[in-house]
Amino acid sequence: MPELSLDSAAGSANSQSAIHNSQSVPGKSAFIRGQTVSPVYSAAFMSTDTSSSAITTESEPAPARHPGWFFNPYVQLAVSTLLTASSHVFLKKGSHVLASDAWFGWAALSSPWTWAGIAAMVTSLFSWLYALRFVALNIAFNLTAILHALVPLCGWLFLHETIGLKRGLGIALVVSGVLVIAQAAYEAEEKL
Amino acid sequence: MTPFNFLLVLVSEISATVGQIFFKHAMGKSADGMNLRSLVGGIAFMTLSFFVWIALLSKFDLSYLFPFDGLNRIIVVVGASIFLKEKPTPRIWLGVALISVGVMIVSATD
Repeated sequence: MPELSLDSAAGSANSQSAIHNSQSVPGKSAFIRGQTVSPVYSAAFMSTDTSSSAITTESEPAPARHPGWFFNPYVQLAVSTLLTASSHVFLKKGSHVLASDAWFGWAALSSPWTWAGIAAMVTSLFSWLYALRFVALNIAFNLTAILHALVPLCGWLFLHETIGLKRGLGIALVVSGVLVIAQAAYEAEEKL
Repeated sequence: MTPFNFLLVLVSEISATVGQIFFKHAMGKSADGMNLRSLVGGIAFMTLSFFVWIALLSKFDLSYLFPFDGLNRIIVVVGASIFLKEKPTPRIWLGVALISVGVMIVSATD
């Protein structure tokens, strides 16, 4: 039993130092980079430079999290999902030009809605990539399944499309699945 | 659906999965910066998946093709556990199952 408690104490100490490191390292490395950019500094601090590069290379694989709620990976996941949903609505709004055009709908590019859709899609990719830095793929990818509820909801709200009973049932199942995944994500974060 | 078209669906879904795994590999490894080679690989597979999907959409209805998006989620969890060493808990499998069945019901209706 004492071995067990020792183990857990060491474990928590480790995780604490890991958290501390991950917060302090990026600031340090940025400062060091600032020094190496200037030739005067790089000449003057040759020795400190080599020792500091050792610090940056030994930094643990876990990426550093930025402070502030906006940089919370789950907030960015939500941003990415909302942007994707709105891009679908925008693309649909732009696609009315498409009906007359047989060729993959290049004509849709004449609509500003289409360009808004493309812009939202590209921006969502950046949020998605940022979130992937911190969240496991199997959790992040399945949390975005909420799109299957969000897109029909947006279609109903903004495009006046209807949602039938069966479709509503499917959407409810998707939402419950996403809630289960969210619970799994919460548990995984608790363990860290 | 002919075997060839089913193969196309699999190519689209699997390359989308491979793209996501590349993205995760590109972003999640180092403390600062990202693996550019993996990022380019991810974009390449996403592009391939996109164009195969567009080609399929020109032949089939979206509602006919969309159940395969439910399949995609299972492939991603399996791929992530093999290539990214992510361990899917029973809870994650339950969530994936609910989502997949839900997606299939949604796309089975008009």
